[in-house]
Amino acid sequence: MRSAAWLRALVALAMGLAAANAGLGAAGLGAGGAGTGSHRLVIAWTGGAARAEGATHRFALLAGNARGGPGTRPLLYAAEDARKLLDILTRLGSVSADDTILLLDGDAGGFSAALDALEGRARQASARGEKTSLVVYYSGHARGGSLRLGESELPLEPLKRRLAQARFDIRIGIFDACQSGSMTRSKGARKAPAFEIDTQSPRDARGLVILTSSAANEDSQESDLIGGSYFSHHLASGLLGGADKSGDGRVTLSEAYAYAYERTVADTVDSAAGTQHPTFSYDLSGNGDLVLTDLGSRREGLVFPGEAAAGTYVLVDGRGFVAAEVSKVAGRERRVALAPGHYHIKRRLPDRLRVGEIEIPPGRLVALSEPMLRDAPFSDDPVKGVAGALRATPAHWSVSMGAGLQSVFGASSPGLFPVAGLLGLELGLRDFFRRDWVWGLDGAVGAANGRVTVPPGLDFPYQFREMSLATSLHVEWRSHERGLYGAGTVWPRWVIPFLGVRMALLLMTRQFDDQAFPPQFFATVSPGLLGGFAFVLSDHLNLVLRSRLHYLLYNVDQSSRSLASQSLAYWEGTLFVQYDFGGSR
Amino acid sequence: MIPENMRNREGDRRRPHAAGMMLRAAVLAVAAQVGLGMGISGCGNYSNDDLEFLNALPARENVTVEVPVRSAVLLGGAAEGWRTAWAVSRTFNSAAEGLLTLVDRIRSSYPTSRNGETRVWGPFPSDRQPEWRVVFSMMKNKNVLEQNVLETDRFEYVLEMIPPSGVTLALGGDRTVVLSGRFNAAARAGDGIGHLELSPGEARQAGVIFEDLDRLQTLALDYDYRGGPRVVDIVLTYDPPRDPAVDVSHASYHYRQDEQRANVMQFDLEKDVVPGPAGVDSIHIQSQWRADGRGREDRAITAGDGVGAMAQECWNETFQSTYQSSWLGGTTGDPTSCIAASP
Repeated sequence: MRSAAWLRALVALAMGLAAANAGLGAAGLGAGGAGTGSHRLVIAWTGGAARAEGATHRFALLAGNARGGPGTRPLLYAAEDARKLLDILTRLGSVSADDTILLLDGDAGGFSAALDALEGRARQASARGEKTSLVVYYSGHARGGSLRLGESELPLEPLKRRLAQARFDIRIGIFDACQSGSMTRSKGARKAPAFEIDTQSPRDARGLVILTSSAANEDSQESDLIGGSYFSHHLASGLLGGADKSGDGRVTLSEAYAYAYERTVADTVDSAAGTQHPTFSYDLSGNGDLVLTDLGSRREGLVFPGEAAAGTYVLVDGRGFVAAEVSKVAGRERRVALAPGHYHIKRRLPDRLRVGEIEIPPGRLVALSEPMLRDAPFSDDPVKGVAGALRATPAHWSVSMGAGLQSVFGASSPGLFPVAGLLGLELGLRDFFRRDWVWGLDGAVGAANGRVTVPPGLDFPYQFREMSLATSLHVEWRSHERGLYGAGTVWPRWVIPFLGVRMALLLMTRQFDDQAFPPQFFATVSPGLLGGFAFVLSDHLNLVLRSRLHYLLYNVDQSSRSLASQSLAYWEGTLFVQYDFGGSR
Repeated sequence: MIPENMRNREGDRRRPHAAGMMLRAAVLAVAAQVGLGMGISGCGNYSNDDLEFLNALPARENVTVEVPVRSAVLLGGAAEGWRTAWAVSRTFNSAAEGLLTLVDRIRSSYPTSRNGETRVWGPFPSDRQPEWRVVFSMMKNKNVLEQNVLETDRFEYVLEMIPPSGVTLALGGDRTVVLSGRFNAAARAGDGIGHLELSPGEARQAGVIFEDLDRLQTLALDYDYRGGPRVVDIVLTYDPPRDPAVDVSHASYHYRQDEQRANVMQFDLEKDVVPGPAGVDSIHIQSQWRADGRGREDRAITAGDGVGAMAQECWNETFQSTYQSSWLGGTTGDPTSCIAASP
């Protein structure tokens, strides 16, 4: 049993070694750090550098698997981790969305197929004379030397060989899984806080780098508070700018690793599951470090000016997830390439918090100043954990209004139910039960003029009225979450398909023109299915094309054949305008 | 820095926010329970088939006598013939009204039970007869052979009264028929040939009180409206008269209205209007009136002490007498003012 104090001492020692390593590296290379005013040579992985040093076609495969088969419990944030990395790489890493594959809850076959698909594209790029690079990211379960993708397994050693032989000039594997360090153990693995890459070689870099979230005998952990795994969270924070130690606006692989290592160890040092030590191995030849993100490629985000107070800032996005943690050093500017959106900011002081809110508009850099923050007690900590956040913040309402048509079919008697026009209103509680689940309450009124013909050809015109109250539960699929061949390639992001179930209470009435007949009514409970597409018009506004198919038990007139109740059905097609109070995600 | 709520990627230490998740599960469970508890069923009277049955009940405009609107109140000085026609029309309509009120009540509600080609309303407690109940049944017969004529889609209906326990009916059984009828629909809504028969005798014997029908034995009403002339016949049969000079024992009315709304009412009265050894006289009366108010009345004693005697009267748009001929043959006024006699 390791004591927390012992672990803290170990971390401190490791961090000290890291600093010493970095200094030795810089001195040994004779190039110095950014602080010296000279420039380190870097491999141009990002677009900005690529323009300067030749085109590198970048590909990325990101996989998140919540389930790991028998003996494992579902992870809560594996998919979120993968999505977060995808977002960063496409925004800041110069990876085209078309060159990414996001694989959520896939299997080993799908993983291999995705790798094949990217390799095929890389071969074409190479044939055009382009340099190619690949990032493979996996967040999920691993055990016994294999990644566990649902019920299937992907052995690490063959995967490593596969990556080593893949037709990319540069291959970067990032594995956030338990005992993933076994992948780096066999060759050149180091459970070290940082590494330096030779920058003196005259050749372009080629080879394989593997980062793992924990050592071969360690578990990797995720946190409800940050809404992700520790390693991926800190890696993402680093890529957003937190790791830009040199201050040159570009985050290299070694910077990102060192940043993630330091914080992962610090965060897990007290955990019951044991301290988690990320590892790395690399088999690279050629010059330069690998730039993973270029903060200058998009001039948007948050800037901590040099005069901003030093400390660790936690940035919480609109859904309650910690988007980034940034260590601000006194007197030094720090930029975080946050995606546009609304954020809560927190800086912890010994006796209180400094909190605030900030809006990052698209294409703009926003500078933080101390007056934007206010004192708050610890009880007002905006970082309440994802479960709480999902319940309190991301769960939100939407309201929709629209019109449609309803048609009942299957009735044995003509004119029983006319095709009716509908006006409807719907309230949706979104992301309450689960993310992307929508619980709806809707009401509609309908009207039509109908005509009944009964033997011997008697015609009875009538006015039909209808009212319905219903509750529904449906699931939405967003393209970036399910696209097997990359974000936006299966369907555009502005289209959101959905499918669900619905239970409706119907009240139908009709009033005959012939006053001799009494008004008639029919009330029933009707179960059904619903599906359709939401078209995103703006942040909060959607156009919803919906179709419903319901079972309708009609038990007033008996079936002429069976003298029993009639099983009918009705279809509704509606077009609604929807206002989503939570906005698009 | 963030030491709370950590989870081993190999498995959870514990599920965080278990209370919240239980809340969600509970909400879902309650929603499912409510859905299932309500069941998949329906209720109401939303029926096409019922319309056929309701259409088979007589409509007010098909079985009542139409008099000019401005004569709704009988004016002083009106011709005697018109007074008679007006009074008879009132009698006719009030006789039909009793039936129609009942029919309207049936039509304004929906069947208690439906079974194939049968609809049943009730039994319901009777409004006016404590402890008695009423039940109304309608049957649709696809094919009925009557008097060598095959009738299709004939509706038959019957209103029965069920006595309270301890009350014995004269004809036995547990219920007595008060009203029966049948109807064959024509091609237009409400049109067709129908027959109703009111027979309150047995119920009255058992203690039921029918207001205004204290001597009535049967009331038979036949109507025929298939798009052409509208024809209604009412035959009333009463208990034997207590005073033959005042009480009628039998009366029949025949009413016809053509497409131009010309009206003819024929009726026979059994009444001792000419004293003599023959006793009760039989009088045949034919009243005619048009929509503008003009009309005539022709009377003839067909049996009794005054047999063969005839009388006539004509009136104008204001119901003032314009021509009269008496039983004894005397005339006054202008005979050319009379409208043509209907055959």
